[in-house]
Amino acid sequence: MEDAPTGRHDAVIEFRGVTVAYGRHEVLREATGSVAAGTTLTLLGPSGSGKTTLLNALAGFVGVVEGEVAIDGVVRSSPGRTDPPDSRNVGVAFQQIALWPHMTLLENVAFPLRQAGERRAACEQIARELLDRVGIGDLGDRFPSQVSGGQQQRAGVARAIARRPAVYLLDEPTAHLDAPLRSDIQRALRLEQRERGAAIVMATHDPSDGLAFADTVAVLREGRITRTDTPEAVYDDPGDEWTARMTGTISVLRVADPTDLLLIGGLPGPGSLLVRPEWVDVGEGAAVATVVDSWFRGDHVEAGLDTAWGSLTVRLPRPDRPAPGTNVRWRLRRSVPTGD
Amino acid sequence: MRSRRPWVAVRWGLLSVTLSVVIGYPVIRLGVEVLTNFADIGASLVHHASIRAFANTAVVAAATAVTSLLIGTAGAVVAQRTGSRSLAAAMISPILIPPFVSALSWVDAYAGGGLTDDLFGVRWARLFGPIGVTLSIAVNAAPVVFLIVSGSLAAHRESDLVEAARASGASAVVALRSVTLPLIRRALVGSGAVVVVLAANAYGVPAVLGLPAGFDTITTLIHRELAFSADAAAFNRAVALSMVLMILAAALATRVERPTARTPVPVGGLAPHRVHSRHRRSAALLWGYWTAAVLVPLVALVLRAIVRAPGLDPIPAHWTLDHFRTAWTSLAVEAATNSVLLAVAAASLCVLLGGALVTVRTTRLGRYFETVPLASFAVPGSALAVAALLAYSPRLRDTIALVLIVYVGKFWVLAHRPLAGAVDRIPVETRLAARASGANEREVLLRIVGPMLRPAVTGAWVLVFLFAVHELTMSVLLFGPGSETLATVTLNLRQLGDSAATSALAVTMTVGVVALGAPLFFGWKTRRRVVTTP
Repeated sequence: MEDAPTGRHDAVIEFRGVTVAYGRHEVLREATGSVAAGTTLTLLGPSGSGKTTLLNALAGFVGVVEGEVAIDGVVRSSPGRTDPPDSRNVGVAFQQIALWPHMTLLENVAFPLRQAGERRAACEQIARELLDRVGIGDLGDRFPSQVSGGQQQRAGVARAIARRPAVYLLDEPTAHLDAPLRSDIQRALRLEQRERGAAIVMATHDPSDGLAFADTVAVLREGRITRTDTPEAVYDDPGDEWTARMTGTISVLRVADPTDLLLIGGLPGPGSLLVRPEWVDVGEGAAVATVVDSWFRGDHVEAGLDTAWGSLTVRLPRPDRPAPGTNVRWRLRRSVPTGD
Repeated sequence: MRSRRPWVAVRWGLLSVTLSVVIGYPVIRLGVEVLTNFADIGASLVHHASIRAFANTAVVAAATAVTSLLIGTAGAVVAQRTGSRSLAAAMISPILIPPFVSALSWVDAYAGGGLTDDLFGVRWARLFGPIGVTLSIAVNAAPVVFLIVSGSLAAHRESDLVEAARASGASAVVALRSVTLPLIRRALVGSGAVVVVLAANAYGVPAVLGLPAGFDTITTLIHRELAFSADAAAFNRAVALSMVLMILAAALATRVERPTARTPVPVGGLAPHRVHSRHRRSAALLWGYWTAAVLVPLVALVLRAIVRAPGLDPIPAHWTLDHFRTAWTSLAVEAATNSVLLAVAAASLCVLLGGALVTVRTTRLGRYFETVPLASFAVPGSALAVAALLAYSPRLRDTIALVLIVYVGKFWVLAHRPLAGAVDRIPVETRLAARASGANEREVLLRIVGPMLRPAVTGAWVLVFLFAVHELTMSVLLFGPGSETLATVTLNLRQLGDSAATSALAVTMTVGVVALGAPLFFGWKTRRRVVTTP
């Protein structure tokens, strides 16, 4: 079949109305989005929400029953047509890592380069540089079984970007890493992206990863994209309680009496209000709550309050750490209605 | 994506033709023979010799199953508890000794004039007869139970669960009854079915330990009817007995636990566990069993092969290699060559066909095809051999080709299951990763899947080779002048009364099998060091 130009070349990868079904069961419905060169789309959702299925559809691992996927302006998937993954100019990092156990880390990373026709010496040099970039340059001669899960994951990321593809498809690429290593990998990916102008689509269930890394966030729930926006917009105005919980810590206050709003300062109420911890001023206002517990978070303290309108999580500057049972005054600086 | 390729038809054709030749046609031919001579064959079944052989076989099979389940399960549980690799290796070791060699070694150790008789004046009066036959087959079958039960224990992380039960206040007996046994129930039933099949299939052990006491089983009776009887009804009786064996096997096949697939060999993979004194006592008992059932008989076999004459003390001054020189006649060399060639051909064909079967298992017809070699494995070799004789006599009678046909039919599953298991264990993501890295399907097969399957292919080849190289039950019915195998020559030598030469051939065969099979079963290979630095 001839490649069919889409006519929209601003997006490196674009998917329109993509539906994927396993047998008669639709696991992804009418997903739409696009990613421009040098930008990142994060797919944020819980397990089973369709993130990996969407990545599989973009990579060409599964076909679509409706909609289409275009890469570099060329339709690669549509009903009845699925171009094979090796023709798509994508790199994939798998949640299960999927390093080839009979190859060293260096050989794993060099394999895509060999497929691209690079000479052996060049492959080895580039693969070593990539392993260096993800912090495991000294482990290239080891087999996957000889390194830790985190080291395997870093090699998996290096392999995904080795061919310098137009699109990086990353499925939970930092799931096995602790916080400092996550930052290292994210920095390495950012650097790669800036140098190559690649588009990144990353699936994650972790809001701190999903929001920090993204230019655009797509929230998935039960096989549908329910919201696509900037990370700031999704965080500040999640729209509903489910999305709010998916994107960070949230409290829900049930305010039935409008006069209560004068006391706690919530707007635009009444109804259910979504409140982020940093939207509450503690020690000010007329409302009183009892401290249930508090947690030291390094640069700040988080406390759980029992209020007349429900449980409320707040953020306090250090060194304030109120004891359980203490009464504190509080007021809302900001809140948004749930929309549920 | 492309889904059909030119070689798909070739692959289906190869599988269909081979299944028809090695299994389908012989079985159908046996069925036709039974139907056309139904009256004669029916009468054969109620012949007193047939009834006695059936009864003997049933008793031996049942008693063997119980005995080997006790030995194999006890060995698996104790090896798991103690984490002892050497005990696990000892429990598996009988699988490397050809069963009839094991029976010969028992004779050399415990019969009148045997090692214990010479040294201590102790002989085992009941060695020849049902008890000796049952115990000898049970010792050879116990490793199968050990492997299947060990695999089940490891898969369920049984030691953790037992510790949880003990921490909840359960005694060791209660933990065994309420945790361990329910967990491994399927493995016990499955391995018990395998043992029944093996016991019904056994020819060498009943020939060595049963016939001298006039104790016939179905396999020895079939052999006698075919090889020695001048009675015209004898062939009908052999056909009738084979048909009944086949029907029994078909009933058991549904219970047969896959003997090789996905069953991890536990040597080297045992979880470390707290060792209690009762575990040490149990381990000591099992070491005692191994010494009596395996070690002493093997020592006796070797001594019988190297001591100059029966009755001499087994001291170095009386040792000689003369028996090896006299045993290795031109006939023995030719038979050994036949055995090795047959085993190489059978192993290569079984791996090729097992691989072909793996590639079609995603289709419904492929899944049906897969069940045929498994059922064929459950059919006793005597029945398969009679079916093949019916199908391909006189053209292929007494030829190596006929032996090869039944070997492939019998051992196909031994290659197929490890290959299928290995393919199942390759995560789909490894193939997808290669496709996403720019590899086409051919490159994925050559550079990713192929190298990952190499250990399984080697293991499957060696497994079939080991089973084929010392096979006796089928070859003893099929061999003719020029197509003898080493096992048939060894057994014939024994029946002619040359016990020293027999032992010399048996020792040679066992050394060869152990040298080839030990790395497979005991996992002797270079292990990669696992480094967990961050």
